[in-house]
Amino acid sequence: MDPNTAGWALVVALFLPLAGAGALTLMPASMDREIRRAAVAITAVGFALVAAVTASFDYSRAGELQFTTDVPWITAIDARFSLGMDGISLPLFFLTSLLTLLCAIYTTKPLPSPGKPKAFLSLMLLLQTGMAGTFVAFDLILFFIFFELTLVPMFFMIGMWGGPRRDYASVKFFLYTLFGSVFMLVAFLAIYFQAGANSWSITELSNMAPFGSTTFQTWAFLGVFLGFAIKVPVWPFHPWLPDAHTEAPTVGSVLLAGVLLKMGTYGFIRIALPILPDGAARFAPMIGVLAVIGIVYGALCCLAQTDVKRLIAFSSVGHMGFVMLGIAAMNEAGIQAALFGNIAHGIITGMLFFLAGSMHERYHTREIAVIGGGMLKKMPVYGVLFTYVAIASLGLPGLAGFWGEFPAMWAAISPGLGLADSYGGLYLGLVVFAAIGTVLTAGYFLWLIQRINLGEPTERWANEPLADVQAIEWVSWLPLLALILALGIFPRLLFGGQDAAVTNLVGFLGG
Amino acid sequence: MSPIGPLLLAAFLFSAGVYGVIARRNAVLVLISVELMLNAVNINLVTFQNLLFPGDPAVTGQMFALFIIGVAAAEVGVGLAIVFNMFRNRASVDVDDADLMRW
Amino acid sequence: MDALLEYTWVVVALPLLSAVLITAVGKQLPGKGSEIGIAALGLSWLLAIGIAWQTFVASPVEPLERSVDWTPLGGGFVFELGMLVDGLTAVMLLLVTTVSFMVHVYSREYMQGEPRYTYFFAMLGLFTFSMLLLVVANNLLLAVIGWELVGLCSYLLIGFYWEGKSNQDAGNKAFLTTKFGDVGLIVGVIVLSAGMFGLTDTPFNILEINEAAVAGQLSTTTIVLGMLLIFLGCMSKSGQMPLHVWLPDAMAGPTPVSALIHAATMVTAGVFLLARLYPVVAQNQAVMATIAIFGVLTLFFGGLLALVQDDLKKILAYSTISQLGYMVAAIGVGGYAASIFHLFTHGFFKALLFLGAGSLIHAVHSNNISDMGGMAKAMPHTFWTFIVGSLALAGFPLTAGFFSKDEILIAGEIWAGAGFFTGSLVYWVGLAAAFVTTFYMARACFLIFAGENRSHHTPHESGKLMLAPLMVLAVLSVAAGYLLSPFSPEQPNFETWLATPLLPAETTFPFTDEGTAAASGLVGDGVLAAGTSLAAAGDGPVKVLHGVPTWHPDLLAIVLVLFSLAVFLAYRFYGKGLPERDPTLSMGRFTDVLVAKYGFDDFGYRYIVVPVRDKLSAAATYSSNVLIDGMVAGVGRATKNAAMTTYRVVDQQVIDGGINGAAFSAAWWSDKLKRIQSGDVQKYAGVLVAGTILLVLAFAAAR
Repeated sequence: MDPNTAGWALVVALFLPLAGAGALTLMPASMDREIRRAAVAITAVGFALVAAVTASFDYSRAGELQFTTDVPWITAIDARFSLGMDGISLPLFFLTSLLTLLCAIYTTKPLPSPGKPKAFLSLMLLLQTGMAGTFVAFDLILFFIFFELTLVPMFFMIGMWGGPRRDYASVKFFLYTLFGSVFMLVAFLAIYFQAGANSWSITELSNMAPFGSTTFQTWAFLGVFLGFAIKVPVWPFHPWLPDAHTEAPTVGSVLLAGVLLKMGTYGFIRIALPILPDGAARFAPMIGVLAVIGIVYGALCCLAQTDVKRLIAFSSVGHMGFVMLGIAAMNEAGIQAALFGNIAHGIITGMLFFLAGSMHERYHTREIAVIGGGMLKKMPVYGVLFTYVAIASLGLPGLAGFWGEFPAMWAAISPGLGLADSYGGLYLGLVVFAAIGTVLTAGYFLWLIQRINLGEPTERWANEPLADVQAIEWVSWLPLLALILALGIFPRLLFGGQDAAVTNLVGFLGG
Repeated sequence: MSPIGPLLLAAFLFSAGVYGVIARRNAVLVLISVELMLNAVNINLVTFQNLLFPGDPAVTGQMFALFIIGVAAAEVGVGLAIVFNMFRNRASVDVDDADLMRW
Repeated sequence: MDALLEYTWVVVALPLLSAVLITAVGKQLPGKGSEIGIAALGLSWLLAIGIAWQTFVASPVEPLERSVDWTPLGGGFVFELGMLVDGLTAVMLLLVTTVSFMVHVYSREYMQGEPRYTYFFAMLGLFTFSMLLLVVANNLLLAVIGWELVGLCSYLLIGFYWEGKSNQDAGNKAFLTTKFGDVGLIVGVIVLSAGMFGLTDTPFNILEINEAAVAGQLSTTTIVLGMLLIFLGCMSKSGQMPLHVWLPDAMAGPTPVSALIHAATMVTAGVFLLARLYPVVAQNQAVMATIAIFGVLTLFFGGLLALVQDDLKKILAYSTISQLGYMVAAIGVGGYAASIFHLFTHGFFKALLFLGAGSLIHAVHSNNISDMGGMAKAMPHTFWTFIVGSLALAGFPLTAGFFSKDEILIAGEIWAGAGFFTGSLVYWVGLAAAFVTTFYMARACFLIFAGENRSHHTPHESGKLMLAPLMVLAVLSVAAGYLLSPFSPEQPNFETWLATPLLPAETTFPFTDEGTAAASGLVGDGVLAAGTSLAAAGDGPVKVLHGVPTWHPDLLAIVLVLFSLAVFLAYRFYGKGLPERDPTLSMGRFTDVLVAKYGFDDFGYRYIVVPVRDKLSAAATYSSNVLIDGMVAGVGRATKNAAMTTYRVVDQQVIDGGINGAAFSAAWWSDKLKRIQSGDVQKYAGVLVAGTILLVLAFAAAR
């Protein structure tokens, strides 16, 4: 495939799941097994295509858009159907495709009540198109549509297959994100009219930036900020996240943590920063402060949790805090760290949610106290995997988590856009508190490992037959487990591919 | 011919119709009141046609009056059918009983 | 000649390879994986010896740096995967591989029959790899990676017997305490690298940082802030008070692990890092003074704690804390070479002592010295090797510990001569602590080897695989000292081994503050190490590096007197199998015995021993166990409470409540407003007419 001309590959990879979702709905619901297999087949073909795209991507020109498609779409409002991919989009696009494939494989296991794999898998495929589209859309309207497209399937996933408080959680999820999106849309409109170029093209607008007065930049950034910050979520916009994560079915949690949250940070990096650099510069210290509060706060909340899944959900608040800290640094190293943290968190936390889901299937509870330890005795392999992923999540070097955390703090020591001069002391404080956050993070993970993994199994479970990791779980987990290690040892896999694109992007900032 | 007479009559008929629509409980009487209002409008239409465009060969006002009479007939047909159905289901033609559209 | 140095990375890679191979195929092998570990470490050890030999005979050598760009970090900065091989690296490589190899061999027998035998060897390999990675790292980020991996391995190995709650807690405590220090390390490294941003694309590179510091390109803020923060990390890793609390608890791990942790792989990391960054440290006297003071506090109060312990491993643990205090204090008084020299010799004799302790514990199935006694006869080889180790630890003349410890004291003396208060502090407190060290080691030795067997087992000598490492280490515990002693040749010796172009023989006194430097009388000369006294240098610039250490009869006399006194006192108290009457140091009986037999002892006991051993050390124990531990626990509790409050009040009520409040008030209002929708069409019509009339009137009025 020639990355310059093969725009069709991206279009096909993007809409294949959508077509697949349509095809699934045509199959009779009684063909239970066939439906599940079809979903695996569809996502596998999609992933193969994405893998081919990844392989033929021209890494020497990672800063430029490749696999582009650009045709008029809604001429009345100048919206264009504009797709493309650079070094920043590629990893996220790849991750989306991979995680959906793994989720499809995982769904060959029984679904939580009410079953209905046909509906579930169709929604999942629809979700995939939305998620993947967000990362390759280069037109604000198109971006917005993909961004919003994810809401509906996720709403139903949580609302139908979720836990006991699913109604509350799904509505909360929907309302929070929609609330932010509204302001984001208004800000997009403001950007469109202020730029006056009759174009929604992200690249064009970035090239024009900065435009408008400082007031305009501030308000527009505030709007965009609200939309993305709720999605990330930045403290204090996070309360939807623990509820949604806890109540969502396993696959929902995985995709939520693995991809949906990344759409927020990606939006910051792709849209908010380059198009509104002045606004970004004004907001950067605030973002930094909120990010670090999120890190410390998330860790503190984790210490107080009694529910495994809720604990992992809160850990996302902390980890996304590191990503936001990288963004707040407003320099190349910071953006690099943020993007790495994005992917690393997607893989690690996605994996943790897989594990939490399987744990729930076995113990039929997520209460740490009820599980009561001894998992290493009861399910040795499972216990080792859990320890491995938990340790990766607490940011141990050699595993993926480290390369999101340390570089973020490192980048924040000398923020770009002249922030180092005016806010140098503040940023040093941020680094210190972020580092303290890593200790707290280590604290709650070790405590979790101690309470779940170590010791002897309690009486309740001692004679219960609990199955260790099953074949289907191995298949859906191994790629993630391997990626955690591979990215930890070869951070160049991501840093290298992103480098040129990030340099380009920071060029727009004028830093 | 002075338009005062017809206009006064129309005003009286319309007011009576409004009163009937708002105040009467019986659905049939409400329907009749609606007819009163329609006819008041008819009178006005004819009156103003003659007042403003006397001798105009295109008698728009009268044409509209005719339309309204036609539509009113249909409306009464539908309206009575609804009233009959209501009576059949609830053994009452009191409009206060028909509050299915409440919040 | 340099060919061998190029392969330094193999030394590091072999233990990792061993860990991977053991994990993969270990269980299928006859030796359950231990043979892979031993073979890999053996090769690694041989190679390290070769490297050490090359750098030693040719010393001082140019540092050899080899690196590949591993990943870009954004902004043109690059993270390198690279190695830096100089004398310091070679010393550490030799120490780590020697001890690790010995521990591997020893564990093959010691861990026999334990659960997770294969896993244990894999972890040993990983542990060794992590430490070696830290040692050869050519940049601080790679060092941080090794450092954190060391922390992880210690967690996994200290909590090796994870079925027990206390062992889990010990593992957690070790990881979290050191992780707390890592806050300092990480921020410190970041601060230092930030100082390099304008100067290079590889801001973590250790050589470049050192060069920049010496060239005065780093601001004082960078140096002070960066190094103090890094020192915080070193304090936690190297067990400096008050962050030493994890170290005694770490005894929960298997004994060979304790040997590895205490001698080579973990606690030395902090001292090593300080030495690695010595050119930066030495730029600022505030930093030096801080380091020296913490070192002095630790070396003295840490040692006192060992007096009241019954658990042999805890005695050794506290002694490690104390010895680490010496090393850190030495860095703080300019005794760069002295510090590493002590690190080097201490590694051998502390490994020896721990492995000896393991041999004893294996024989009597108890950690407590009150359960031992009379072991000399049953375990002759363990006995003599343990005694050699104890003598070295106590600094008995002509053992390795003697030469290295005195080197530190002399460094203090020179520093004091240069007008620094911390110098005298190190000298005198160091001497006092040497007395304490001798006393508790003598106490332990007497209780273990003298008297009757008090255990419920028939002690037996350990097997060959356990004894061989003991003997090798015993020889090293004596021989290592001759690398830097009055007997050594002028060149090469340990000092020239550590010298680099940045820290050459004629290095400038590193303080850039001209005034102090002038006052110190050390302008234009090196304090790389303290080989000779100031007087030896005459009136001219001091050439401390030139010439081998000389005898210091005054110091020798003091040391000998203190040593004899301590051993004498210990013998008086414990030499006759006292535990029969006084098994747990119940003071009443003990006092009676002394009062009855020696009036002289009575005096010393009442006014020296009791206050020192019971009041002061108890106070120290108290401060360690209750105050500091309590503070940590209190911080833990407070954090937990804060966490609960944050979650329950702030998160669930204020933030979530506020959001929900908005939703609920919307619901309330809509409930009120919906009443208008009565379904009564006539009411609607009425409202419609009323509205129309109102509008008409309004428009009319507006006309």
